[in-house]
Amino acid sequence: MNAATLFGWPTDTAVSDRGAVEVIGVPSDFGNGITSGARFGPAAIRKASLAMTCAVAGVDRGDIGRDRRGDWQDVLAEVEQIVGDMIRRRVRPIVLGGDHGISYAAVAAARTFRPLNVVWFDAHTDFCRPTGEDCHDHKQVLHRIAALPHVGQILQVGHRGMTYFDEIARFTRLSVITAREAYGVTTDELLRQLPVDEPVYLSMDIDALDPRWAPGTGHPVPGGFSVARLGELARTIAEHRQVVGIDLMEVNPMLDIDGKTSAAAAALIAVVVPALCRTTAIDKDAARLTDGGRD
Amino acid sequence: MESATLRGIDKAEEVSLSPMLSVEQCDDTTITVFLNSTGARLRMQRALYGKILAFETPRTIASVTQGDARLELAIDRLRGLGFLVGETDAALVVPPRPVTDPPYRLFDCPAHKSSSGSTDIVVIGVPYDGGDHEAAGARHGPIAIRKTSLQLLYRLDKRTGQPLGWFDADVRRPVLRGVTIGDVGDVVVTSGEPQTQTFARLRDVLESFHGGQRRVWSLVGGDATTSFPLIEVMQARDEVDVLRIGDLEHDASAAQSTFLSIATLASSVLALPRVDRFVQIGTSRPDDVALPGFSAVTASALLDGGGASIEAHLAPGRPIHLGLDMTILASPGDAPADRARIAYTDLRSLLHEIGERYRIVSVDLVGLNPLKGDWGSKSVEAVHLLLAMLDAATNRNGRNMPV
Repeated sequence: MNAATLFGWPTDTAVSDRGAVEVIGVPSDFGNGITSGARFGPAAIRKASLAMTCAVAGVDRGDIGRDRRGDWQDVLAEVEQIVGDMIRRRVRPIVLGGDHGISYAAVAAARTFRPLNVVWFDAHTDFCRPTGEDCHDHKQVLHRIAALPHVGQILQVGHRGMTYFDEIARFTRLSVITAREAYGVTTDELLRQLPVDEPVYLSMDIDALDPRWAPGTGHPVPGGFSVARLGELARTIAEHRQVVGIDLMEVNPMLDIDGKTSAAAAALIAVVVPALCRTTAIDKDAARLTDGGRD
Repeated sequence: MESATLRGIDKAEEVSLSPMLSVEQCDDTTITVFLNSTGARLRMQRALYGKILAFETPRTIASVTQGDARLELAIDRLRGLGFLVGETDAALVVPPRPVTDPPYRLFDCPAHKSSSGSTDIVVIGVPYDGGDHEAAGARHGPIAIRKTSLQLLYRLDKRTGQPLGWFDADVRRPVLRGVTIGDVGDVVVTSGEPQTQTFARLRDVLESFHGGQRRVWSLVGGDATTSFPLIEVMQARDEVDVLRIGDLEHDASAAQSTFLSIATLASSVLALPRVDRFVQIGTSRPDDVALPGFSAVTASALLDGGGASIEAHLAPGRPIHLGLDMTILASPGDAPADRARIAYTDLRSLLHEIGERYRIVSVDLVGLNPLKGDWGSKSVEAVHLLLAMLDAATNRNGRNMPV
């Protein structure tokens, strides 16, 4: 267990029923072939969160892979097992990365929700084609997620910048609200993309933020959101849809300046989690939204 | 009668453009293409290339050439070089190159591309930092040290063509004079592949460029686990013991894991059949490891006893692999009383003593991390220490000869 916990939350899972949110850190960056350091993200976010308050209380279950050994397959298997356990207990997971490829395991673990729509805040579409069966790459993770049978619509928010080709045209169930469009998108326009009675998994790559707000990440792209705007968009979804889990990825403290990226990440969680816990009826809703626990 | 084949190639067979083909340059009249797999390059007329593009989908050679003898000859050549491949052609499954060409070579020494030759020291970079959690960023070590090393260029004597080496102003003598150095490049580390695959590729490269008994391998990491494949290859050639300068985290409970981590490095090395001893210099937890063949000397004991403090731990006459983890190096701002790390000057003396006492057959320098704030102050130290290690490895054997 890390010395610091998110917002100073307790580590005792016995109390998780009251808050219905549990944190798990994944200190792994195998999915970033260029720059390592996101493995230190969970610890940095937790440390930054201690200077903030969150309106609700959850439980921090520490990091997976505490022995810090194993290839990415081992890491993802452990994430899937632990997040799956949370979901079976009707607890909403908050996954702290780590590289964005880890989100695949969290979404895969939520297979009892179907269709499960995915909201992906990110500067990139992460929709490049996998390059082989050994592929585990944060650039291709959404492509892999789209292939999961329980995944329905994917809404990508924040795409921008120079790319090699039109990544948006890759998948018919992929909707994209570019960063430029998202500056002025209304609540109705945002929520229209997500059927009201279908559960949502919400994933936030810290590079959805502008590099001036979040320089500590592996692949920053100019023209991103402010912390306030991203928090507003994410909170809107959490308030109006049944969000069954969230993650916050790609904080790289080794590239950060004065801890501002870690602080931005903690602030985003502080904004979204209370909205996430707004619907205390998850026990009832989960039964309605799942297909009975079949894989 | 027209021949049914072009120098052994069946004109009736369907061939297609190699998936490894890329365009490098194009102007109004010519185009240069190259193969990612082999690095082969070819410049041709654009008109010819336009015809070759017919093979974007598999076609028979005859259907494209239509009896044009010059085109047949051109296709013959392209086929021979692997730009055109048949369905069963091995060129389709040519494995990616095991090493990359870095933008800078260490000391700007020559590239080393052949398993033959008499290069004395062969350098390889291993940009991998997945085996040690705390070493995030060390994957950038090889490129960073190569860039810094350009302050000390490798030069040849104008008359003899022999390496001039350098001069060690601290001990006032030439170093590495007459010692040839070649840079293999960086072993390819593919994002997402298992560690065993990366290390198997590294092992293959080390074996393929092995050279003779005199050759000294110099590996630049990466994290400390990257030294394992080198030690594995060296002990297959001759019995070898390991002398590693750096801290160590050992976890006996992880010994059965197939994933090599900093916690299992010592036990994995000692499990190799021809390694009897693993001596760790500078560990802060000398009593943590209870392995047959393992012994430790703390930085504090080293400061008190000097190079003699390691004598009791190594067998005289046995060749050694020498490893240095840069994280053991005291930062310039560290207090003089910081006895958990080793100061640069003490390390230089230690390397000199090790070179005098033992036969070093391979070295590694790992833990270089340009993402750390103090990298700027350590980068030049790393280059100087690497030179000192290479000098220690070559000078004892009399190869460091005046030109």
